[in-house]
Order: sequence, then structure tokens, then C-alpha cells
Amino acid sequence: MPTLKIVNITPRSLSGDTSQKGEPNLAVNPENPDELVATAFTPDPMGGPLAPIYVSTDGGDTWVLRSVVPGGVPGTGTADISVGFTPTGGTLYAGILNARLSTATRLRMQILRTPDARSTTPMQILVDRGGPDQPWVVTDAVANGNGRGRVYVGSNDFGLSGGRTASVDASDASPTAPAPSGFVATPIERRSTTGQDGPPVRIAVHPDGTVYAVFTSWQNRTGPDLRNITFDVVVTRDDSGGVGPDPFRSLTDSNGIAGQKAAAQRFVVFDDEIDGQRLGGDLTIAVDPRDSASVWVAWCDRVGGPAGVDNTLHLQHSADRGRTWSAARTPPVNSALSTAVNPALAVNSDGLVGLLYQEFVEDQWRTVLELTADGWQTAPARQVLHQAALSPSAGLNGKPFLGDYIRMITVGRDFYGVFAGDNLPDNANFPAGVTYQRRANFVTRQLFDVDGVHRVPTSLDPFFFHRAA
Amino acid sequence: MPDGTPAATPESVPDLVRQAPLSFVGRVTRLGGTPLAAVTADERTAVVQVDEVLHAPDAFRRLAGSEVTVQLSAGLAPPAVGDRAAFFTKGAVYGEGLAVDEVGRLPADDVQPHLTLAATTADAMPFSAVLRGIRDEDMTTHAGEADAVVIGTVVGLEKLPGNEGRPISEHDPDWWRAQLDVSHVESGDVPRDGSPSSTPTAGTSTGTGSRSRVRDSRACGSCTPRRAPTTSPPPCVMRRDSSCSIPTTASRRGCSRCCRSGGEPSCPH
Repeated sequence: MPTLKIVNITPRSLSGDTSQKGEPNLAVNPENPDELVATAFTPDPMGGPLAPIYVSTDGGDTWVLRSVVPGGVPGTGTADISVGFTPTGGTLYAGILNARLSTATRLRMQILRTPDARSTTPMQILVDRGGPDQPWVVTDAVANGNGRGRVYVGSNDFGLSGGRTASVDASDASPTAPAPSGFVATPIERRSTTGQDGPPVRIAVHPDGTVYAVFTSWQNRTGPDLRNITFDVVVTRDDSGGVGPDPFRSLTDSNGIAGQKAAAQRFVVFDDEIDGQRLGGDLTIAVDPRDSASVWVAWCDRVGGPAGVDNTLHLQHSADRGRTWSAARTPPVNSALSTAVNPALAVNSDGLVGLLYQEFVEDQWRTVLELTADGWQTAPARQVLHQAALSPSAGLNGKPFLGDYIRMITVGRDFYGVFAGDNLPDNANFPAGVTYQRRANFVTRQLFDVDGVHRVPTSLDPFFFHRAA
Repeated sequence: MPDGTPAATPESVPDLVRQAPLSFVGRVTRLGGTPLAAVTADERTAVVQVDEVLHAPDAFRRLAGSEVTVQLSAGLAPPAVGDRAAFFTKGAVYGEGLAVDEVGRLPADDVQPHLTLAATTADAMPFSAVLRGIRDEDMTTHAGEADAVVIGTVVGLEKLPGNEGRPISEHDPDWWRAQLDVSHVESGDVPRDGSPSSTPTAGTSTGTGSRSRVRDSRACGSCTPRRAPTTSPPPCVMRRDSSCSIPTTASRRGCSRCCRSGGEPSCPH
């Protein structure tokens, strides 16, 4: 019988914390799934120059913060950050925007590595490049031909010329190689754009060496501040691990151009919001570990066009390695998700497909996990992990509020995920239950400081979940 | 019990406070071990029972009564179990309990005057006055680097044009121009009244306008007030090019911090 565990990962020693810890990410050590690393917009608790990561060595039951990420600033810690473990050896990689070095006109991406996530030694900088946005780290689930697996970092690289900004850095993941440790950047946008692609570049890897990357190819910008965006959802593929001489050209369209459109002429108002949550960059991809031809993509767009208010989640599936795509999760079997954000897909070793998302319904943010064994042909198993209105004291620190992404990954048959949400201790907010480390009273629905006496206002915390098969 | 006096040359309290975000008076209850599983203990690991917090970030002001694991400085003579001292520390591991690295130590008697004085004031912590002095020093330095320092009231806000034609990202600053009605010129070439320049403008990057929730104390914060101040505003420190106006203090005084000292404002998340 599957079990579901949800944990507020703010440690007890930070019970007095009130920061806005949105945009979480997660890595699970495939060799030892009890070892996990989570990240979020979390400043060093004492204002130091390094941003913290959250580390668990007991399967997510308890967590500690260790400040090892360069470029931290007050308020958020580092800027965008994502993480991944190598399939063997326990090496942890991170892709960050260094908040201390990024400026209003030039973002600064760094790719980092540490041989031991439990160490307090600052992570080593392998790549340091101006221009890229939203680095997204993905690692092989199993060791490939090189015996240790590979590391991929998708980004929207404004340093690239010609407006073709979607990019993937890939490396053979040598745990000890000096910087840049084999990382090579490959532009994956092959078409003309309206000057750039969208922020998210997401990657899915399969043990047979197939690597998919998906991005939103911006085709037109109109409206106020040119934020009305028309875009295509483009999937690219590499069949040799993404580290060959000219990678990500294995999938071509009818014109022979690398990349296939999973959807075309979609619309979004970039940087618009729902209840303070920023819109315009919702994208995810996952491949079936049993069959590299079976790949899933989800994104959000505004069906209502410029006059609309929706942010509708769409899901597509390809059974032929990305050549053709068809809609999945369609009505009437499945309810429409018209105010959804942050989709995250993952497929486990049984072929069970998981879709995690957050939706704004009845003035509450809900984080929902759907699981399906038949590709949403019948109603999926649906579990609300968290539901809460924004507490008055939370969310005062600016967009993106919950964050521009959440994350879900699989190891074997198990699903692991992380999301941000209001931390009001109220059992009604957690239909599947929850464990808090920080001091909280679920009867009086109050948070308390480390002394257990003084009340602490609510804020946003990262929550970890583990669905064990 | 003996006082935990360090062997090294003692530093001044302000110097130590500058180096250490957390200080407290406490008594050593254990050496060479810790109850925290996430900390690897050695002979310089101590457990200290906190008697009183001297200064701390908000989230750690209420540590009194709890145990803190302290990795003792290699440059100081280790205390003995039972010794009482003022520990100046920085954070190391935050888990079930708190582990810190020691950066300095003073005899408990040396900070007693601060404890005594704090008991007679409304200060939140015994070192609040020390922190104020440090902030004033920093502000004086900062003002000395500014093109102008004025006291004024924000009388208008104007959203600056977007970056038409250039790439956009979720990190773009949301630039606004604040118009100030200047009532006092502390320094700089700013006319007081009667001319258009008596209402100088200050470029700001805020969460106002399309961004309903304002970040403060972030690199992309600004001196644009969230609301028009109803009392005398603080002096605002401005740069002549208005590219980066730097208010004096945080939002409690009507402004949000604008940018890092000497840096370009950014909005990296």
C-alpha cells in the first residue's frame, strides 16, 4: 500500500523565521534515497554571504540548513537555484543565479559541485557565465556509458546571439575534474524568435542515452511593455547523451529543422499574476523510464487571450520520440485546470505518471498530485497535498510568491517532490497530513519561536513529500 | 566558577559585533560532544547553555534557555565546563538545534554593563546601542559617498518606460521615478525651493505598479515608499545620475533599501 509523507522542512532551530521561502527545488541521491537536498529562496539565517541548502539524511523526516552556496544576499539567499545528484558517488550539482553578482542588466549563472552534500565547505564553482537565466539541473538516473552518468543544465541564455536563447550545458559529470569540468553549452533553439525564448528550459533523460529538452520559443511580442507573448512549445532530442559534437539535433520537423513543436501559437501575458503568483513560465517534461519513446510535456498558457484571466494547464504526450503529439488529460474525464501554475511531471519505473501542480481555487492555493497508469484516459488518483489561503502576513516580499517552479522526481517506484506554501499550522490545510519541525500548534493554529512561547507570524515555507510505493 | 576569559588579545565589543551576527552570554555545559547528529564533534566542540542573547537576527533573539553547540575558535583558549562567557558567533548548522562557529569571546563581566544598561532602556537587546552605533557609522560613510543628502517628501511617482525591443525576463527591475519635495539639503547641489529642481527625481526599482508585493531589503528594492509618508521622511541619499537612489534606512522609515553599496540594483529572482 503506497504511503504519503509531507514534511515542512524548516528546521526547529529556525522556528522564528518569517522569510518568503518560495521557488523550491529538490534532489534525491539515487544510490541512497535517504539523502536529499532541497533549495528555496532562503537567505543565510544570520545574514552571511553564502546561501543555504536544506539537507536530509533520513529520507526527509528531518532537515538541516548548511550555507554552502556562493552569492547569497539578504532576503532570498541565492537567486534561482536547482539541484541534482549524480547517479553514483553522491556528487551534488547546483545551477544558480548568483544573487550577489547578478545585476539589473546582466544575470550571472554558476554551475556548482560538491562531493558531499553534508559538507559545510562552500560548493565549487565550475561554470561562471553572464547571461543565462533560470538554470535547471537534471542528472542521469543511472550511470551511463561513462560509468557515472551525466549532468545537464538548461537555461535561457541571454548571452547568445540572434535571439535564440534556449540552451543546455552538458557534462560527463566527472566528480573531480577541474572547472569547467567538461561542461559545454549548446544552443537548442534553431528557429527565428522575437528576440528571445521564454525562461524555462526543462530536460528529461532516459537511461538509454535519450535526452529531451523543451522550451517555449517566443514568436511574437505585443501589448503593454511587449509582454503579450505568442509562443511555440518546442521539444528537442539527443540520442547520444547530449554530449556529442553537435547535440540536440536528433529530432527534426518536416523542414529538417531540429526540434519539433508540441504546440504552436500559444499565448501568455508574461509577468502577469494570479494572487501574486507570477505567470508566464510554466513548463515541464518527463520521459517514461521503461520506454524512451514515451514522453510527456505540460505547460500553462492563457486560452482567453489578451482579455483573458486564465492560466490553463495543458498536457501532451508523444509515443514516437517526440515526432507527433496528442493532447492528454482532456475533459470530460479530467477537470480543466484554468488557474494552474508550476506543473511538474515525473514517471516512475512502473510507468505511473505523476503530475504535480498548484492551482488557485476558491481563494486558496492548492498543491495537487495526480497519478495515472493509463495516461488520464480514466480519472487519475488525485491527492491534495496542501491548500491554504495566503495569510495576511505572508507574501509581502514580492513576486514570484510561490515561485516560478516546484519539482517532482522519481527514484524507482517512489515519487519525491517539493513545493512552497503558506505555513499556517492547520490540519485542514493538509488533507494527507503533515509533519512540522518548526514549533507549531495545530490546535491553536499558531507558529511559535524557538522558546515555544512567543508567536511567530505565518510566512511561506518549503514542503517536502515522498510517495513510497 | 571561573570566568571563561580568552587567552587572545580581547577585541572591542563593536569590532566583535561587526564580525559576529550572534552573541550571547552562556555557560559551557559540555566539551567534546554535541547532541546534534548533523555536527561532527571534536575536542573544540562545546555545548553552551544560553543565559542571555546580546544581539541576534530576529529569528534568534529568543535563544535564552536553550543549548547551542559552539565550535570553539582555534585562536582562543578553550573554556572549561562550567565557565561562563560572552560568545560571539556566526551560524554553521541549523537543524533540531543550532550550531555556531565562534569568532570571539569576552569574559562575561566585560559585557555586564551592557546587560545592566539594557535593563533600564526599551532596547530589544543588550547590544542594541552597539548596533545603532555601527549603523550610524555606516550611514555616515555612505552619506559621504553620496552626491546629495536631502530630506524630502515623495510627491509623485512615475513609471519609467519599459525596455521596448530588448529581451525581457522575470528579473527585470520595475523602474519608477520618485519626485521629492525637498525640505532640507544636508549636502550636495540641490536647490531648496522655487525652482523645478527643488523636486528632484530619484530612479527606483520597486515592486509597485504591476508587482503588487514589494520586495524590500533586496538588491532590487528601492527608495520608493510603499505609501506616502505621513510624518517627516528620513533623509534620502541620492546619486546625481538617479540611476540608483539610496535611501537611508529600511521601509519602517518610508523607504526600502535600493541597492547594495556601490552596486547596481538587481532583481534576481
